[in-house]
Amino acid sequence: MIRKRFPKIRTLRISAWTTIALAWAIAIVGRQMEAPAAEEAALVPEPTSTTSPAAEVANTMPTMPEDGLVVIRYTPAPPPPPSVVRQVVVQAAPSSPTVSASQGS
Amino acid sequence: MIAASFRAMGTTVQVTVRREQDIASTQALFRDIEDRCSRFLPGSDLSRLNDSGDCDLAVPRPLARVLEIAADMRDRTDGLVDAGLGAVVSAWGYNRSFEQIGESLVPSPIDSRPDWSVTDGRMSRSPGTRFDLGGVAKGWACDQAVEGGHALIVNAGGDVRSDSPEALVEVMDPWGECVARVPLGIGALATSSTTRRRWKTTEGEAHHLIDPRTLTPSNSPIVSSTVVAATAVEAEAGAKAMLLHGVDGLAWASSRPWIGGALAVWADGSVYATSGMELQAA
Repeated sequence: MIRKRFPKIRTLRISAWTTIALAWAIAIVGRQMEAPAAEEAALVPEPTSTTSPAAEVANTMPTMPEDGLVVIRYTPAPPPPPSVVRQVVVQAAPSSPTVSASQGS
Repeated sequence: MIAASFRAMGTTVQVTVRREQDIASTQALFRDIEDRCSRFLPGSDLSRLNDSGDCDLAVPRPLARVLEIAADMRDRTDGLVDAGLGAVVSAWGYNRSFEQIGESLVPSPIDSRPDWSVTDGRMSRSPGTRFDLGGVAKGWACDQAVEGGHALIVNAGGDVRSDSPEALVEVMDPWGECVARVPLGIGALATSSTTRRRWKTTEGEAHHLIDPRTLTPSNSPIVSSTVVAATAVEAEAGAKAMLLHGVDGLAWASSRPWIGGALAVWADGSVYATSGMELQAA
């Protein structure tokens, strides 16, 4: 009975069309899913660092010495970078006999 | 006590002396050391050494003494403070007195690290090694001025040596604010900074503190480092080494028995100190 209703040629035809229809549907759905991802990718800029290498260096903390660390001043917001310092010759003011200032050279 | 100041070694030297004539003798001492150890004076002993192509040669005794001290500082700082980096500093543009450095120099970096030693007045060095004794000579001059009885306190551009129990040093950050007051007393303190002696090059800003591991100006997060030690030479070398050590600088300084205390100003403006640093509130 079944063999009568579904002869070999008909079964093959149904299988072929089913395969084609499934492939088509998968292709359509796949293309629709890819499109938003591609659009999203197009909108997202190349990953770039928002901080300069110098700022990254600045955002580190000192390694803790074995006998402890004294925090004299903690500045989470960085101050403006010091400008390039050119050495200017000035007449040094007379200093107090016992107070010196050390700012580096 | 008398306070006075004069220019020497490319910086202002402030002195506190007991007698008027000590000002002149301190100044003469600085000039003498500068005449021997400056790489910018064509006739100095150091310039003759630098210009000589010999890799094995005798060095005049006073210069040999400073070179021996420089070698000691290099060893104590694990090679970070190396006076033999003169050619590298020059290659980055600091090849003349700082006041004469122009704008937008084109650096020609060197890629080989120098190797040198001095024993019994004889120098042995790798080809092309040139010396920059600026830091060592300045610290040594401060030490000689105080140890020789010429001055009670000497401050040469941030390198301080004192024989006064009352000596107090204000440590300034690169933005000009006093961050700490150090009751130094008898001893030495030095501050080293990458925000001074900076100049522009085609590769960006450069400064005089060369990291011998990269042979380029240091990219340390420490912008200013201050070290207390027995002598100005040690304090100066310690401050430079701590800065070059970067994030590990304070831990390194804390582990060195010859460093009494250390303070670091971070690039973000934060200020940290080792527990050994004696401080008064600024």
